Amino acid sequence: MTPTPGCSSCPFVQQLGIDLSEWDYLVALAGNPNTGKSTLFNRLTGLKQHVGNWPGKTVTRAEGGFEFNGKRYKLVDLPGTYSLLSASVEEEIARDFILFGNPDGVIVVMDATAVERNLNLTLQILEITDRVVVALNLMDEARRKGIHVNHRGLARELGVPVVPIVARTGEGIGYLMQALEDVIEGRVRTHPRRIPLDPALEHAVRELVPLIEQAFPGVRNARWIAIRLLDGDPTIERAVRTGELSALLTGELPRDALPVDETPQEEETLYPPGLAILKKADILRAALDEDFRDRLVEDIYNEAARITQRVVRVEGTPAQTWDERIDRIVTHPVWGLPLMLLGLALAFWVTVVGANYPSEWLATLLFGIEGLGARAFQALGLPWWVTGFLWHGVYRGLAWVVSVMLPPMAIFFPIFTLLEDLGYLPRVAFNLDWLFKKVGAHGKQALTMTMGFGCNAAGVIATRIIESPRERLIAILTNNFVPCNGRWPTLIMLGTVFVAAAFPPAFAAFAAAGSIVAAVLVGVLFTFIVSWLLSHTLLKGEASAFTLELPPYRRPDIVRILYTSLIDRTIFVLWRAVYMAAPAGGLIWILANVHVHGQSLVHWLAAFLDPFGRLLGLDGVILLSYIVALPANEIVVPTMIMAYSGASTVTEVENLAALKALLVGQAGWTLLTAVSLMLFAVLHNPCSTTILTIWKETGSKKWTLIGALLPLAIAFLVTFVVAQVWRLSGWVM
Amino acid sequence: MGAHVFIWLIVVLVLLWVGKHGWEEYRIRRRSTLEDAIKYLYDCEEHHRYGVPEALAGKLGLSTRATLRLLHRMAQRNLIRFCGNRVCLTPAGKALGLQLLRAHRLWERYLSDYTDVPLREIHRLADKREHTLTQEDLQTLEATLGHPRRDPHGDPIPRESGEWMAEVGVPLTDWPVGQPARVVHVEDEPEDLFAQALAEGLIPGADVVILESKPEGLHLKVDGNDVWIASILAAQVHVIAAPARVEETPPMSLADLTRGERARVIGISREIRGLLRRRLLDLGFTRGAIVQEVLESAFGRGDPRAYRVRGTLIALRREQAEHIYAEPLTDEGGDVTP
Ligand SMILES: Nc1nc2c(ncn2[C@@H]2O[C@H](COP(=O)(O)OP(=O)(O)OP(=O)(O)O)[C@@H](O)[C@H]2O)c(=O)[nH]1
Ligand SMILES: [Mg+2]
Repeated sequence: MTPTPGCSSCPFVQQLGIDLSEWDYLVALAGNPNTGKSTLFNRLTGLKQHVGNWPGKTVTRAEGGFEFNGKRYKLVDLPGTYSLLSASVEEEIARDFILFGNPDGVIVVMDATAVERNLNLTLQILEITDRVVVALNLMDEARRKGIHVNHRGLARELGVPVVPIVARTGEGIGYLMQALEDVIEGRVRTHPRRIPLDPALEHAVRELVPLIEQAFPGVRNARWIAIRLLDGDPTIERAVRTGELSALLTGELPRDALPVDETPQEEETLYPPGLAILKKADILRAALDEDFRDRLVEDIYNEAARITQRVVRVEGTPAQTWDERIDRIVTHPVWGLPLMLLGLALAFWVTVVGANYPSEWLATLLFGIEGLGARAFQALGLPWWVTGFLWHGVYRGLAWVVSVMLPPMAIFFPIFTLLEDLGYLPRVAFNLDWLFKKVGAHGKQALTMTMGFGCNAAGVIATRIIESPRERLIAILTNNFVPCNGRWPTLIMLGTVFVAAAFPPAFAAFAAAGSIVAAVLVGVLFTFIVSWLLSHTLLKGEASAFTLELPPYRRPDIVRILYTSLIDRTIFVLWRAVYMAAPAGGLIWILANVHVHGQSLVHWLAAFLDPFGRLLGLDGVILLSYIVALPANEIVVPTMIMAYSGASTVTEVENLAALKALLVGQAGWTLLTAVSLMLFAVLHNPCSTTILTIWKETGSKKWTLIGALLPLAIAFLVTFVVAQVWRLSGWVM
Repeated sequence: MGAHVFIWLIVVLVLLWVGKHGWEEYRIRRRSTLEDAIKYLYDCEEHHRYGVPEALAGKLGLSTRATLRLLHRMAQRNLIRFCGNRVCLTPAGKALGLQLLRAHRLWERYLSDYTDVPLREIHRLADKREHTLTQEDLQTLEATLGHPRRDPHGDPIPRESGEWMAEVGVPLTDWPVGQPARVVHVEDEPEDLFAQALAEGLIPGADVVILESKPEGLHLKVDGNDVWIASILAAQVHVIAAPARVEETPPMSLADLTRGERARVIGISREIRGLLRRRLLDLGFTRGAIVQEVLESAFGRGDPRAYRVRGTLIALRREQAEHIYAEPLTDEGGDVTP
């Protein structure tokens, strides 16, 4: 197949983004985890769903639109699943959509390098619907590994079109769309392959199918329904009991509104034929061997293996050996852990060094504008408080956030995304699992923690990959101990201004990076301590099962990484910070300029908080900044600086030396203040967005409260102890 | 002044909270007592014993007066009637009893299959939870669990219609020496005996052979391990004839593979149930699958390990790996499909 150009330039697919008006066809993307569904989704719709080389990246469904041959499509990206037979959350989302969402077509995205595994799900989907097109993705990886898939043979075996594609480059997508249209519009008739069942189960299914077809005329997947009824499936049983099944399946209910999302809790009316079916299923089930579920999955996999044998050919030595060699190194008993820490330190080092100058340039530029703007306002004769509020308040808050946050984020995010795309993160989870097991937590918590480096709210959502509710709660409650990008600036500022300054210039950047790594390690340490405490008190229980897929290493997609991390993530996070910072800047300006009894409000508030702050090795202004910065941690440093400088004569803090002069000279900071603040920054309560997310994810006030207050209490305790010990040992003060 | 108002406000809020909480607590307690009584009477009738008020008082730990009040309440709600000096359940009472039993056993099954609550605690938890599950909850629960036939102790779970799976199995004390048996039921009360049975590996599904029988106890082989138990404990354990031959040595599992070694899966142990069992199957650890051990975590001393199965690397903790039985593959023929 000749490569077709990338799809943004391909003639017939027009990306519609989130424009979902008046769609003609509803199409779902289904498939195993990590097969490139979101990549394909992004390519078709032009949206920017997050992709990453680890299974479980997408945990909710996303929607987008595109136009092909004059028809408008609504595309739904489903979470990846291995199967539709168990009832985990992602599987339910996927299953419900394929079954009840009544899509016009389903694109099953398969990984060409693991056909047998992927066929398990594909065969199940073929039982549910016949409007299926298989996208055989990752063809580039398959070629690299010498894996040949006879896609025509596969299409014959499955009875539906199979199109080889490379979602990343857009290769084959035109053909895929054509095949999809043909299937939807009936130009291509599909003959989906049926799962061969074990004779006893087949017999039971045959008994049920006519009953189902009779009770629910028009149902096309009676066989699948019968299998599910025998297996036990609460959603389908309820639909059969109430007689809603036909309406659900044939889409008489609103097409893309999922009825199961908000199950009506009112009295259900019972449907006698449905009850008879359930009764029959009960009797048939009793006659089946207790292991019939094992046999069912076995049958599907055996069929998958048979098909694979006929259509897949592997050439030369398996390319797995490369992956294995790398795995040997990154999980090496001696090198594995140091490598991980070194990688982390390196990432910070690059960030600190790289962000230093751009930060200063930006500061000079932006504060220059502040001066100009303020003067212009004065020249226009506007009252001082308008100038002050807008330029020295709102604008300065913005300027601080941009100059402090933008450079480190623009450097750190791409590095992080690179590691994610390579497939390194699951290896970290693998290496650290033994520790998590010791504290009674789940190994995948390592994955949710690394997501937390980006944003704790995202980390909390990512915990959905942990099946055990107890361990998921632990992961949610402790996610806050990994510093999110909003807290990097605080750490980087402190590392650079205080720690690095104590070293000769040649080592300054290393020292700064080292101190940040140390702070992160403190956070990780507390993750383990608190996880242990939780699993021995509030969330008692032993460590449960852990299964983790280690995806093959993949060549990272540099262009996309730069795009998503710079344009998408950085700008997004920055934007959030900016609209938090502008009001905060205004607020601080007011507080600093409204005077009561001859002193500013900042002064009074800070003075009120000061004794408490001192106990923790901090001071009143810092605590005040944290209160103001509750909506977003990003604005802690800017708020602090504005509070200090607003209360002093220094108004321009243009570089680090000036910053240090301000903090040490005017605000009386010591090394203890810096250390306490670093600890506080890592341990304190989550921002309001994260708290809200915890509430949404747990649905419980109690856990939300614990999630918010536990870290705060720990932060108070730790800084208090450190400050007291520090002072007693007579180091400072 | 302001501080006083503030403090009073807090005091009032706390009192309100305690009041509301206390009232709810009281209502639940009241209902639980009633339902526990129904459950007891139901159990009596099932075992063809008589429910008399004194025994009820003893069972629930109530004073005679409290018991009489309780009985009065139950009679008022038409759950019981008095037949002579005995207490009989009305049809409504029987239905409630059945529902409670169903709730109890389904919840036990749920706890054992879908959570990591230790087996010895589930009875206590189910005793609490059974009072708050509705008919509809039970239907959903039953389907989610895949219509289980027995609770984790091997007791049958009644259907909604009130049908039972007939109770089977004989006490281990009555089982002939040397004949392979499978445990189907372990009495969950008294608790200490149950805990002891657990500790010896005598759980439903375990394979047992009696090697020697003495008046004071039995010498058993339980899943390949030598065990001595007292007769009083043996009477708590019910068995049926083992469906297959009891393995002399426990089979090899994935946890026993060394690096690079390959094996063919024979099956997943019965101890793995519910969601986890399905997940393992879905990941491809089905009978006949060829598995290769590829990677051990050095830091956890070989735990977890990663296995290549059906072309993908899957990491498992030791607890799961040792429950997936396998036989070693020595021939170099059968290739692992990529
Ligand atoms: N080489 C190559 N890599 C691809 C291709 N398509 C996707 N990838 C990579 O595969 C990884 C997984 O892609 P995703 O799109 O996140 O996969 P997904 O199916 O949405 O995964 P889940 O959301 O976890 O179910 C990413 O690292 C992608 O960059 C492809 O055609 N070729
Ligand atoms: Mg995805």
